[in-house]
Amino acid sequence: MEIFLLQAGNGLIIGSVYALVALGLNIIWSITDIPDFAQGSFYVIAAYVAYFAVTLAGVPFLVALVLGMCVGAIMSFSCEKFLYRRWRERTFRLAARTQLLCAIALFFLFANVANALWTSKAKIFPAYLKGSLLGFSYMRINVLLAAIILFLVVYVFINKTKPGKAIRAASMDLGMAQVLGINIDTVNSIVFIMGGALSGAAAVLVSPLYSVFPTMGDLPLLKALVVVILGGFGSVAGILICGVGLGVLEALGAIYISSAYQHGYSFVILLLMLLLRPKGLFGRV
Amino acid sequence: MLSVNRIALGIILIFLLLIPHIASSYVVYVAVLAILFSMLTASYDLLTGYAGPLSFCHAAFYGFGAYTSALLTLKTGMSFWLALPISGIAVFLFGVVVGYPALRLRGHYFAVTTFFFGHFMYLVFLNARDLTRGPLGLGGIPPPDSIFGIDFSSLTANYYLILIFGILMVGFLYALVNSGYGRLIVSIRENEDLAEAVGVNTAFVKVMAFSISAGLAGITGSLFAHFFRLLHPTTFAWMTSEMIVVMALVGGIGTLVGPIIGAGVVTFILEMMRFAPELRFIIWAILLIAILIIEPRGLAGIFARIRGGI
Amino acid sequence: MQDLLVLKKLTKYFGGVAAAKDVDLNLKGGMRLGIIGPNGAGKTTIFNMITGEIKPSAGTIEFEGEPIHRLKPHHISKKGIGRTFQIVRVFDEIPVYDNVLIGALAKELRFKPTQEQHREVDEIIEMTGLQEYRELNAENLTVSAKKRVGLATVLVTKPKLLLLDELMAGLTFVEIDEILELLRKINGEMGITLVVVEHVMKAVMELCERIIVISSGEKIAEGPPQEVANNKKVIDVYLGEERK
Repeated sequence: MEIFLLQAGNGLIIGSVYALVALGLNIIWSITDIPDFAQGSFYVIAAYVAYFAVTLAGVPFLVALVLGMCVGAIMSFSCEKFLYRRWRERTFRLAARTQLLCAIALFFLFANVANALWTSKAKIFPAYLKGSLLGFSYMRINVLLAAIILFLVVYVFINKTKPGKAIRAASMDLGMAQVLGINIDTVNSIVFIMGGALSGAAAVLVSPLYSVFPTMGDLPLLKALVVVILGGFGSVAGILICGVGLGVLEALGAIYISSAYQHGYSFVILLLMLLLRPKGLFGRV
Repeated sequence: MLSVNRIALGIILIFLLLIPHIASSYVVYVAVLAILFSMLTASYDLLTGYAGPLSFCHAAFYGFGAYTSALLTLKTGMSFWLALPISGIAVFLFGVVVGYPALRLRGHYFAVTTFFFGHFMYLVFLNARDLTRGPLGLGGIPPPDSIFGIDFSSLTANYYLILIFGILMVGFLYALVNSGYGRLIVSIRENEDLAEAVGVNTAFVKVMAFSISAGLAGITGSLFAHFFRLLHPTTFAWMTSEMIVVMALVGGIGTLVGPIIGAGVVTFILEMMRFAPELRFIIWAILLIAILIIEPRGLAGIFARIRGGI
Repeated sequence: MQDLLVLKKLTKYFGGVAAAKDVDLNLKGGMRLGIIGPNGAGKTTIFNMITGEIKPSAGTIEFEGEPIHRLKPHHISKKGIGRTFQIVRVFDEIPVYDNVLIGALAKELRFKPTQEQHREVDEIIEMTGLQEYRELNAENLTVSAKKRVGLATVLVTKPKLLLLDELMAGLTFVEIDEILELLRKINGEMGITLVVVEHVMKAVMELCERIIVISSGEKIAEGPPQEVANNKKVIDVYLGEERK
């Protein structure tokens, strides 16, 4: 029973990391139709920047976290502005294909830049907080707390502020939003900045628990994509539930079924769900 | 077909036939890789270029074919000449099982699902150690048995074997996409709802395009297994699937010849950069983005523009 | 003679809203039927149920005495029901000729299209006045030409019943007259039963022998054009809409 709770708790924490990356991907995907794989590499670069800020410059963790978010946001913003945007006016099919391919290319590019600059050897991110509660270190608990805060911020931003409402309008009907005078370039920039910041935050939060290495973005990216589809481009809350749910299921599957296939469960869950509920668990339609 | 194309095709064929006689064995190995990748991208083009759905799991079928063929010959002592078609058929049927549910999804949903499927299969190759020996790699795979008095222990003979299969596969795909079936496949890419409304069984045609494409990748996998005689899960990891997608798109999908040229060009570029393994994928990714900026339709699009004089 | 198409209590709910409610219809072979009604009245929903794109919530559809409301669109097409779409659909990036050839191959699949099939495609292309566009990609045509490509692609499948969803919308008067002539030919010479959903009233009045009026998903009137035009309920519905 104790193992069960411990694993469930760990699943909850890793699941909230998936959910954070997924939240950004979800907002980007539902507005621009781009499954932005490149977020996986912003995640990596943000973690490295935070790592160097802490180890070389000795900044406090909170500053490193903000720094990581800024790095993610700037990279994400630039990629949209200088790359994805140029194909938007193309015919839909060509645009979609080109943007997806570019996203994958960017993902490879930055992951390999990290590899070339800092080698594939994992770097240990120094612990910033000692002690634990009920078997969970404070650092783990902080991941969960930070995720909840960021989710609340995004929720309030999307639902209560003017730019947030513009984003919601654009995600429902892009054409109509433009008619209503919403500047689609601005909306795109905002969602990519949000996405990058969330990816960066997830990366820096998780780094002290594991370590920093060039392929660290692969799994969170894969899982986040699953979460987005499971959530069916649904609400902010839907993403949180799916992300955390996936994390917990995986963690429990690892001890009760087999740990070798831990990262395959998400695929099985995805396929089952697509067969049963092709619109996603929290789909709008 | 234009006569210019025929001449170009002839020159390439003669060149390919001559390679083992004029080049070092290293070049022959690279040429084999290029031909195998051409077969993969050409079969991939049937699904993504002609039928439309963007797929990211071609290497999974490639690997499934390779392991099936290798295990059949290793565990049951079956002849390569029987194992090859059996692995092709096995992968085809596997394609039906996977394709039927997955192809109900449209657009990026399908793309991302295949992405996971590819990763899932890699985990299977890695973890089914009783069969695949996992990360240790599966070695000792026999070369093709001699047939019609031809012995396949030499590199040259193996090269020609793979070249012939490559030509046969491309010929088959060429005939298929230009046939009546091929036109129905294209109708799905162009407008699935309209195709269904005029009486095309789109679900069936899509599953068939997916499964045939998979089966051909399986045959390519079998050839790979018996040429290199050593299989490792990473060969069939998602990186390889991505590589196939990129090669095909760089060449220009939906043209059959584009993906083949793309496979040749990208294999060549990656080999040229062996001196700097760290920079390989960086240069490669930048090249890819550059091509997308210059012409999103790939090399085929660039050629079309040159020919059109624009 | 047996009715070609019979709708019985055909109903479709989207969420809680009835897009079509208890629609009954008996259609004889060879007829030209018009369906009119205000925007959002449920006309296209009825079409989509007949062609199998959406499944009815209740009620039945019989074609030549056989229930078809559970079949997939491609089965229904094979039974002999063809359609065009409100927002014109063509196979975009391939030539007009190949568009129509796909229709012929969908009807009868051959590894190599037969001489007969090529001849049929040629005939249909000539009949729909698309000769000069044969080799052009369909996406590059005008709306009017695209509509004719859509019509040609379905005609080559030799349907018994053809459902035309706002074929005339956005066309000029000259183009409408051309299409009307073409439709009379399709009905008269090829013996194809026509059901048209149309907002261009002049065209419906000229073409159709019988008209049904749909409002808020329900059939409110049925009869010959003149009778329907003078029906009080119909006038209310249309004037009511205009006043809004």
